[in-house]
Amino acid sequence: MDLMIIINLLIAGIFLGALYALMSTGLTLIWGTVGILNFAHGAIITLGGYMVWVGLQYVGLNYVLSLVIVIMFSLFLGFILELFIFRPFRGKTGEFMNTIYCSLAFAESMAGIILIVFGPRYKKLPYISTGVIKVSNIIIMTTHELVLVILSISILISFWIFLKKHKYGLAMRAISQDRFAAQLMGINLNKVYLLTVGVGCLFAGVSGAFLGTVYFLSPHLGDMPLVFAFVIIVFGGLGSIQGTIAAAFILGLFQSTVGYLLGLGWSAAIFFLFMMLTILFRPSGLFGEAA
Amino acid sequence: MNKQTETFIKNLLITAGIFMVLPAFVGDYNMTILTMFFIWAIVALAWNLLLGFSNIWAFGNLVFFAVGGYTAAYLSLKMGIPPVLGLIAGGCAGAIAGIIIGVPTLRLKMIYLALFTFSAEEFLRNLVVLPEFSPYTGGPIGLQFIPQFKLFNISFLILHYYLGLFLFLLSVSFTWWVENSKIGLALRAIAGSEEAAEAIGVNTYKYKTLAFLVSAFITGIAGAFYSYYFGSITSGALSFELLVSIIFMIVVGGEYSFSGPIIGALVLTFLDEYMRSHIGGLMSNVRLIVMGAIIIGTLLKYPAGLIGFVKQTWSKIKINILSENSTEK
Repeated sequence: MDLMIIINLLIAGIFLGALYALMSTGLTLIWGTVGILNFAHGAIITLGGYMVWVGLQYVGLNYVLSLVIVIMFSLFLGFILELFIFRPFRGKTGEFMNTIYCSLAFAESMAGIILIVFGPRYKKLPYISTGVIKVSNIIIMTTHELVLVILSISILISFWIFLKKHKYGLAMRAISQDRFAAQLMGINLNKVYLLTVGVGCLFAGVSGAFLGTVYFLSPHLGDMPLVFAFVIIVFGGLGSIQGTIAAAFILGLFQSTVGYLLGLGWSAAIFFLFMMLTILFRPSGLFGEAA
Repeated sequence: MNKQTETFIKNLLITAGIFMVLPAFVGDYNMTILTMFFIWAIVALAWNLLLGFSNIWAFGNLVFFAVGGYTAAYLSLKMGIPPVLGLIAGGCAGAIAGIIIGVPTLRLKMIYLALFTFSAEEFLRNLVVLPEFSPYTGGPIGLQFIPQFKLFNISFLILHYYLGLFLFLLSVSFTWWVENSKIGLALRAIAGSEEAAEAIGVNTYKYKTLAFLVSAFITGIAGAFYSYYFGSITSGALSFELLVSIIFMIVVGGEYSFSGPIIGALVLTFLDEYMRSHIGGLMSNVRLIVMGAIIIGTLLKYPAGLIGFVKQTWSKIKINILSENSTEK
């Protein structure tokens, strides 16, 4: 293999990894703190993409200002999810399954709304910037990809600082370690849960806004990312955020390499293989607790 | 024969009788929907053996469905195997897929099983459309022109309706037998508390694998019948919408009762089909919103589904009648 190709694959892998990290952090955060598997994550990714479309086409904003709409809307959706779908089942028998059924139902309703409002036709979000970065006359990446990578990584770093320093970030980590003890320390569980689901959905929405510029915008935009996110959080260790981010970059690099060697259609197979191997040999993943 | 078995056989015979004479009263259109209902009822029933009855968080039964369907279609199309044998082959292929998925995952925490089975379905959908597999799966177009059942001069609709009914009754009886046998007893213990079941000496892993096997076998047969009935099978048999709609059937009917998934399948198949055909165009997607709203409403108000709702209201009415009688005296 040429050195240039290796560099290109590395950059493509980091780009994919940054997007994957963004889209699976929300899922692992909600699982770790609230203890709920949010199957509506994919629907919120899709809606995030469409909200950028709304901002660009209907309101007439630019991409960055549309992101504000995305953030507000996905936070709002997260609050709705927590207040009307997750909270009524909390502490009752069958909480886990009922929340899964309800989040599936939520995703289905959202798909219906998207189809009615926007129609089934595929859409494409414009690039943020259209330049390219060249090294000795060979294109190594577009500035659009660079902007997305920088944005994703800065979002992840600021979230990391929030988790380490802020009062509510500490509360989230405390609850994921020991719910009962956290409650004894005077943490208002419901408040933190509301915030956690909101932030988790915010991640989903923003990653949808990014994914919509890379892939086509369709009512099924979020389907594959949801499954990829499942694989990433299992490989990284359920509920572990640093594991999820590490796993996202590893799998991004693998996907770009496999896509180059075998064809892009096989990337799903590679993800599945990863999941199978993780479950067979190390169910706790990279950083997770014992299964 | 105990009393439970007697009532079951009585109910089964009544159901069979109703569905036997129904084709005389409903038109061709309703008959096709009823045949679809048989398929979805079988799938929902077999799925509920895992989800509701044994409390195994499996989301990948469509894998068995598609594997059974594709196997039967391939065998009949490329090797000329008669459809009757294709049904059995589909069931066996489904069971093998069940073992491949179940054996590594059933030892772990349920959350891993839920994630794994859900992803398995999505990945299989991406795999079957790959050009490398198109000699076997037909790629994105799927397998078409699968030879269908033929018997004398009986019309296609009637023949497939009664075949579907036969398979439906067969799988209802088989599932009922499994749920009321020694396996079912162990599974019920596992559903209550896995640790407690293990403590009293139930080999939980063995029984969970058995439940997976039974469910996969029945679903595989249903998949094979699906591909013969429609004459084609595509990756649509693995779609997210189908997964969601079958789970909705189980939830709406009531996952904690035997007849729940069947009632749910009946209600949702007709609701879905009528909304699809009567509301045209883009607005037909209203059905997705309605379905979602129904599920959330059902789970919030009546977690035990339609069956639970009926039982609850019936007992209320009974109490009312009793209290009225007592006040009259």
